[in-house]
Amino acid sequence: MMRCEIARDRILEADPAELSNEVTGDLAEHLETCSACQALAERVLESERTLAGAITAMEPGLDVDAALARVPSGQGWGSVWGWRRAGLALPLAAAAVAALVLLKPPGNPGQAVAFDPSSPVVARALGWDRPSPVVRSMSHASVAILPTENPDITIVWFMN
Amino acid sequence: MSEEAEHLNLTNELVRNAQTGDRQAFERLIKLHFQRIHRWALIGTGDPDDADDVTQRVLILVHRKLRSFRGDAGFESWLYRITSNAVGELFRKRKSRRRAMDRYEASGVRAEITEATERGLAERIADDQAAGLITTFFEGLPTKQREVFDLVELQGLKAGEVAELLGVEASTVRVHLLRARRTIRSKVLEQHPEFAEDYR
Repeated sequence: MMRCEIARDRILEADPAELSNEVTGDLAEHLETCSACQALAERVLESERTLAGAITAMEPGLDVDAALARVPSGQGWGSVWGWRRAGLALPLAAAAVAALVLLKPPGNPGQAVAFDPSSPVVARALGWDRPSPVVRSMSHASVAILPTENPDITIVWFMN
Repeated sequence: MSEEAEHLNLTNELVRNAQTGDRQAFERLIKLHFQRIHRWALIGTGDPDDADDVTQRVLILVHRKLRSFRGDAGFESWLYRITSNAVGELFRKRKSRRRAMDRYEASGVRAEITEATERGLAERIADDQAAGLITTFFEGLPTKQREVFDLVELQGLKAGEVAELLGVEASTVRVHLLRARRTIRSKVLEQHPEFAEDYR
């Protein structure tokens, strides 16, 4: 005959079918003859039923139609990246044009200086609050990190 | 054809159509799995508000990534992984698990658990109580254990099915299940010291 201490430990890991005497075994035999352990097994099962009911009762606070309305229209990757490309192309083109126009030396119309995002002149021309910091990478290339209005997009500008 | 097989066929058809850009198919696909996504999110986060945030995020990610789904694993496994990753992302960004605990502990819901269990009328439990129950039962349980416990113990899936869904071995599922049972049931014992008395 199984001792109650052992039965109690087994109850902590037993399958619900064992706890409800749906299957035979030494634990089931003990539960049939020990009202205290049987009450514990029933309490465990009742708690799990309550937990299951609580989870089922938790309906989404979110309406599916409202949630779907927040999903962008278009077609998956292609359109998402297309949208991103379109969003990225405009500031890049504007930056390039602004840099070429504004930094062209007046006395030498055929030659433009390199675009430098750390320059206050460029920053003002592009409407930035302050010049972009430029760091020197291990390969000695200068790298500028340019945030955009879209938090998903950051422009990383490599300069030789 | 069984209901399960019909569900699978419908899912596969909707996935194929949605991958071609059929918005209606995408919306039907989401509606078919919405409750499931939300439940996974709820189990993963333990917080109803966070579950809503994760569910919304998953919808956007599914839309964005559906074309890359090649069907090597089942759609539900793929969906589960996206949801699970979204839960992880949420925790990393907001550290919300602690916030959820604080919220329900501060509301005194924990003390009502014994009473709610006595009643056993889960369908009548108000949302806050239900959320408090979930939080307290799952408190301190690693996410994987919570997920396995919900899928096997509460939803009745087989260990093999859960293993496929989670992308782990069936033996791993069983280990998670036993650990989760022990933790959760020990809490039940703590709530009912009268059972401990009987063993003195």
